[in-house]
Amino acid sequence: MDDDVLTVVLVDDHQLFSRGLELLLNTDPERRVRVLARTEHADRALELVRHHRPRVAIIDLMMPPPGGLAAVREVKRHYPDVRVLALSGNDETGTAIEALRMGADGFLLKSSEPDELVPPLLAMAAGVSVVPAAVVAALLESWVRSGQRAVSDLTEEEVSLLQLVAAGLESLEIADRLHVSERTAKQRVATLLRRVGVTTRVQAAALAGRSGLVTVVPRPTLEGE
Amino acid sequence: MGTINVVVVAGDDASAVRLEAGLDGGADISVAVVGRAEDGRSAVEAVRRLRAEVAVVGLGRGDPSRSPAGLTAIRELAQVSPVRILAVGDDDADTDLAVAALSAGAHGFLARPTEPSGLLAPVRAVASGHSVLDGPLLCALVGSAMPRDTELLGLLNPQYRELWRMVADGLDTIQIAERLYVSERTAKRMVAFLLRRLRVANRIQAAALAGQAGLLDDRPAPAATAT
Repeated sequence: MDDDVLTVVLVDDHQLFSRGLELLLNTDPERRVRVLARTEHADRALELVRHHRPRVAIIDLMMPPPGGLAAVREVKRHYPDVRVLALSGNDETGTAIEALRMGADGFLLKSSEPDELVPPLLAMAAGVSVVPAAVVAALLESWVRSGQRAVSDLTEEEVSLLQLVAAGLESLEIADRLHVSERTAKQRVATLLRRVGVTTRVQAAALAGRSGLVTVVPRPTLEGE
Repeated sequence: MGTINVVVVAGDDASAVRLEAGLDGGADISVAVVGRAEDGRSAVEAVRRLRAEVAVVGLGRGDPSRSPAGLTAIRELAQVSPVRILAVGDDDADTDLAVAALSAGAHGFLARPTEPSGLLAPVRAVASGHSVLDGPLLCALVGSAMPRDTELLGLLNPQYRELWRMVADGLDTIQIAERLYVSERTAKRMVAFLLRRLRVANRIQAAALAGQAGLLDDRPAPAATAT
């Protein structure tokens, strides 16, 4: 089964926790994990990873500046192959999602049972992401809410057509961009609207904004306004 | 580590063989296979009889006209027993199917692993109480969890927020006037004020901005229709 030992570095300013975790992982009865090094400083995370080249970096999110999120981002930017497991004592799902957005491959609560830590670490090393159920629930909710369901299956051409519609282009302008007749452009737009489940171009624009396919930047304040 | 009893629920023999291969070589894992994923009841029975901690459920090909095989089994398993459920997608499983499996009660979703024994580590993680997702699914879900420009919502009073919704819904000036019990002229003026306040050029941009700001998040998003 898992022949090689999983190598880990720990980044956590909370020494007691970090030492405890090191001890726990190093004394796994099946010797599946080895902690190579630890640091208490978020800004030393990258150096630690560069020096030790672990398979997994465990990074606490609640650290003094530059903080855990910055450490996650730095490590993933320079070493995308190193799996990053974010830890937090705070069960706010927003914190977890922020870490995942920064590139973390998984998230665990510090309150997890110690003997339940090794299996998720091994799964992370095998390329799977591990997160608490509450985080999955929050992600599912945002998936539904954001309208991804309507746009996730669109082809690249359909996405760019939706973006043109959402930018407020008229049929004739769309026809010019696509090098087709105005009639064809109108037909394509009508098909697209049906496909994403809306009836007007304005609704299509709302969906595009909701799902992040377009970003409207309100014009800057003019002097005297 | 104690033995983990695993029940494999597969839609057909080929899929059962592949899922079993994914669990190959785990000395700590004991596997039993139940065929026919459509039949949730036999999955539930097997889980009870074998005191299974984990059910690995294969999701069949997505036939848009019917509920994909496997989802029924997941739903029934999630209702009646504390078993942990890992859904495993077929080659053409998309994010929607994964979301459906997780919403039905699965504790994890993975695309079918390409390597033998590829399910061992995920099954152990699921058994220890964690949820597992594969990388592409996590990326898609995290990508959808966009921060909203909620500051924009604060710019407007409730009446104008309601007007903004109407514009985003694609109502025209006459419809807006009717809803607000005002003249068409007044409705037009109000929309013009709204656009100025939002600093956008037209209704289309106001609608996109409404989506972006999260104004529409409290209602269901439109659903795609199959081509």
